[in-house]
Amino acid sequence: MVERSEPRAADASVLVEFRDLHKAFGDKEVLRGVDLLVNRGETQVIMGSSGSGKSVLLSMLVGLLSPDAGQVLVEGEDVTRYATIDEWRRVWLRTGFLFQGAALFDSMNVGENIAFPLREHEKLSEVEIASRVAEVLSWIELDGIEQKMPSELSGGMQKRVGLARAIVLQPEIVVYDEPTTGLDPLTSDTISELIRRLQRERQVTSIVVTHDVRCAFLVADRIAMLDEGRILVEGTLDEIKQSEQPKLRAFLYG
Amino acid sequence: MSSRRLTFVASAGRQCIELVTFVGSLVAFLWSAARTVFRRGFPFRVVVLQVYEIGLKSLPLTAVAAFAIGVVLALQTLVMLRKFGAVHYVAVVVGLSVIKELGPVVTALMVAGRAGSGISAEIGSMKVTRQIDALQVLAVDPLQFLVATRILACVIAVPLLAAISDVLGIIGGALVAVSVGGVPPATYYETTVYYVTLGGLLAGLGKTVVFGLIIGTTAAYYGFATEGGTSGVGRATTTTVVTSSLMIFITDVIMTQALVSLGF
Repeated sequence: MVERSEPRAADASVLVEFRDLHKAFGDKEVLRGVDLLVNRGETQVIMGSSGSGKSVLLSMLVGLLSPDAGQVLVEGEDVTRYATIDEWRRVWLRTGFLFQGAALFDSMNVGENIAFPLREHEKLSEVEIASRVAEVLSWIELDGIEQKMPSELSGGMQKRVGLARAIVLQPEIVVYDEPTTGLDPLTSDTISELIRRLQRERQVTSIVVTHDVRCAFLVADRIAMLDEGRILVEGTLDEIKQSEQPKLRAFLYG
Repeated sequence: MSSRRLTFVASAGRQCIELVTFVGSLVAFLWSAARTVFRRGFPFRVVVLQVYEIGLKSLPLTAVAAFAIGVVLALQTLVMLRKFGAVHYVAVVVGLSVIKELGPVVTALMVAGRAGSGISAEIGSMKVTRQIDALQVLAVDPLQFLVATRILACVIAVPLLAAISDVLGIIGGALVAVSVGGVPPATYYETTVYYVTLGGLLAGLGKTVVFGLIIGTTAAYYGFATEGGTSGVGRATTTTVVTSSLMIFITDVIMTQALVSLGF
């Protein structure tokens, strides 16, 4: 386990690196020098209390927010220096993003939502698109709901459809922003199992932002805890479970 | 100068600065969206869908308004023209008023109220539920997919609706002139064709292109600027209708002055 005074060194196994990130909103300093390495093919969970800046980190990875200082490196390339949509497109096409509220397009049905990235970025016939949509719906165990509108789905189903849309282009990295927030424990476990399955079966690199300890323990290879704008503790799941760090223990076990 | 007068000057100055800043932001927003039209993969199918949404679905409203304006204009004018024994000139009053002013302006106001508020509410809801962020991380430019398409659709739909309004307004006036004023249909037709020139018609429709641009840009701008959940969406739609209506009146005055000085 690593405490933040001695960050891990980046090597070839690292796909994403957050380096000395700073971000303030007005007077409120949310990130005060975050350093974090995410290994290729692993699930990195970022935990922390509400308002600790976890989601801000994800937003910086995909260009929805810019840091005040610091870098976000994907395979060693600093994406915070990207200025054009064409540069960002390279990151977006290799990254799937599951939003906290799923962010399904409510003017489109489930099938159209999932088909949307395919229609925009791949030259496929309507038959091929329908087949890819059915395949990914089957993978999330929601076969045959193509015609349903997002408003007809439960919160858990919306999250699963959001995940289906995020992975339909088979991205290398999938980021999850509070994937289980607002769901009952059983549905949360279903989502957690999908996250785990995705990493196991497709070897994607996952970054999961959550304050749900149960979800974190189910999906994580490594866990980092964000506190007061910095990474307080980072380590493997076992290291984190055995940690004696008082703030971490208070967060995990109450 | 008294402090009261100074306060008034300061307030007026502040409002002028705010107005200039707002117009500047709106033009910059329009420019950013317009540039995406020439980028590869522009979704013309979305423009077609939006022309249907904005145009065809606004048609019943604009058609009824235009027809009613033709009828009312003819009814009011007939009273006066009868006194001078010149009832057949009702065709001139209706024809010129409708094609140069009332058809374009009333159509634009109706579209601002119906479609402008709809665009603003749709984009505003997408903003607060992070659907716009979702578009972006799916590598789809929201300015191209949501904004440029809707502005272009307004620019296409408003002149089409105004052309239909022109026809319906003239028909409304003709019905009154023939049935109430006793003007022979052939006389009404010939008078209209004589006084309503192609130049006048195109000048009126030309103004609606600018109105379409104003409606689409204002609606998308306020939709994109929405903050603060569902109440923010409500504020955005109201502001869209008020601002675009005011801008339609102001630009109408400026364009009419310019067209009159050019002889239209």
